[in-house]
Amino acid sequence: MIKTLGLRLLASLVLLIVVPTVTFFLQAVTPGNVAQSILGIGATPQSVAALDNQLGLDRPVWQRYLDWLAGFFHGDLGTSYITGDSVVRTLSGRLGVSLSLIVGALVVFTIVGVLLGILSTSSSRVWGRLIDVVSTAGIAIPNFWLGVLLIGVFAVQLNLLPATGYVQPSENVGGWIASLVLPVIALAFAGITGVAKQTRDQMLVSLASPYARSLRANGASEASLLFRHALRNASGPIITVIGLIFVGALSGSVVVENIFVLPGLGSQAVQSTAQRDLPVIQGIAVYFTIIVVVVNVVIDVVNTILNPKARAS
Amino acid sequence: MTATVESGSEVLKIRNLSVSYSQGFGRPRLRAVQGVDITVGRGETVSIVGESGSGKSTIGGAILGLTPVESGSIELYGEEIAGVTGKGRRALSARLQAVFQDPFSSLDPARTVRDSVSEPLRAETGLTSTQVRERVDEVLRRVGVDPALASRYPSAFSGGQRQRISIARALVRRPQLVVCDEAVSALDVSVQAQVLNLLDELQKEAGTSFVFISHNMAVVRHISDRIVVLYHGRIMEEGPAEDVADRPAHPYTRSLLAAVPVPEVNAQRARRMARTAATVRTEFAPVDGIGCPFAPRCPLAEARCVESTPPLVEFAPGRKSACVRINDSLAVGHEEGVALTTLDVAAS
Repeated sequence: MIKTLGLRLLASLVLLIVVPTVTFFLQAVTPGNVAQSILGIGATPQSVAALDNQLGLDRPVWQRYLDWLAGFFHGDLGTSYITGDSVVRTLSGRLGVSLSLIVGALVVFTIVGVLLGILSTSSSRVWGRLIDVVSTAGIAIPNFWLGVLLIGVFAVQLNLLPATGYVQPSENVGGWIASLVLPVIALAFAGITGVAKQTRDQMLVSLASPYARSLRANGASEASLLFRHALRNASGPIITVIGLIFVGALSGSVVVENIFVLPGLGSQAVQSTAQRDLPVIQGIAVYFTIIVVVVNVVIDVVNTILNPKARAS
Repeated sequence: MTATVESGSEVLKIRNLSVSYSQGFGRPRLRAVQGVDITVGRGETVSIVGESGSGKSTIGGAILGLTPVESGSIELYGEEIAGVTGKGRRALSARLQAVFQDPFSSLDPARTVRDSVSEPLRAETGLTSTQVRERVDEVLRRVGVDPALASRYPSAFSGGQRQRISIARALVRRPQLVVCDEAVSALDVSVQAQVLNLLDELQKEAGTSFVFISHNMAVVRHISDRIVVLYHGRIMEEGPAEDVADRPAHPYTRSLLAAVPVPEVNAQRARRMARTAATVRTEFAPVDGIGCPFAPRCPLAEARCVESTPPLVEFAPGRKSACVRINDSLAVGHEEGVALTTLDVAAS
């Protein structure tokens, strides 16, 4: 098991280099110029060239890439072209916001999705149909539309929750939670339906299996049958889907953070892309890759613990 | 192992049980079991024998509460258990347990053997974890599985061992009745014998009653006190195990016996030819459920077989048959045509 995890981690390290590299060269071939965007449209070619030189942008792409890579291995992701601040410091402040949002969404779509999925298998056919309908809705409804709708209803009309903004948990825990409720729902909604559907399908397979029938016949309680046995055996594919949905939620967070004006990595990504602030974009790519890698390793570990079959082979 | 059933000592009493399954909208319901009576005494083994689709597993399912009962009653020690679900059903598990066919899938693959065997004990309150541990060790030792291996997963065990584990799980609560649905069918012949002997020993020790469901007469004849032969949801024949197996009264029982392979080349060939010769005669098909369900396949079928449904009559003490010819002569078949004689030779 430890060997398997070690190999996974090693492969993840490769990913950690490949993703920023691809981002770097994609940025390099994209038209547009950061000096131009800093100085404005009216800037003279001379001043643009001078700024290019000052930022080191007149050097060849591969040289800039090697510089960036050298810094990356030393934990230095460079400085922002726009603000001149350290990228690591800029992003570290925003990481907490994004993690609160994304992990919150992960918790919500996992718990609600699994419970809905189980509910749909244990009782009448109506629940199953309802899950099917809601699943389709979850795929069809985009998170930005849902986000705007939630703001309109719960913030503007009912005035229950703040429409936008973020409160640090160190300042006010209640405010922190309140500021996250709507964005988390907007981000988690699509995930809930995916998890519920997968749970329902896997649970139906588990519950129809001979061991489930044996357990019923031998007097196991419904709760024990559902949670101790069926859910545990169904957990592998469910967790895999949760991992996939989580990665999708990362890109969803970019949109959701912008709608709810949360100062996270996603909103920074949009802003920096518009400004062509290459070091910051690179940094965000690194941070997102780390999150994906960590989540994948965690999923592997959870799967191995829950699934002795996977451990044996 | 002959147990006499005194009145009042019945462990299980099934009366007029009928079960039917929906076949979808607009189609008639499939009548899986029709008006079946079965009684099981204390320490007795009753086998329900029949081919696929005869309704034998449906009866097992009805006893265990896995199949909804349409009509009739199932009494365990005089207590009605048909249609009991949820909490009531869980309470029954102290007295009623089951062993199923496939040892490879009837244990939860994600739970250790100890977890699986102790699962029925979860319904029993007031047991400390040490007591649970001791009970599990004891029952595992009893079925011949080393308790030291109990922390392993089912995938680490062979088919025979898994079936022993399934039996251990069924016995851990010391039930009074165990339903074994094709409990040895998936095992090799030598392992079958081991498991059957084990069940026999356990029964002698604890006085447990068994309902044994099987398609194979040869498997059940030595461990059964009585055999009930089922076809299309109806009892065709019933009686003490040796009588039914050695002197079958119903043509269907004969054909079932003929289906058991014999280790003798010429006899086996003769039986195969007899079976090939037996054709389905649609003119004897029961109409609207009236008539002997076996008539189309019966070499002795006549018009009166389908005029009305032959009732199950007791023609000797404890011996019942649902064949119209039973009243003509008790030695049905001994004066009959080639096909039946061949079957008869094979059966004896």
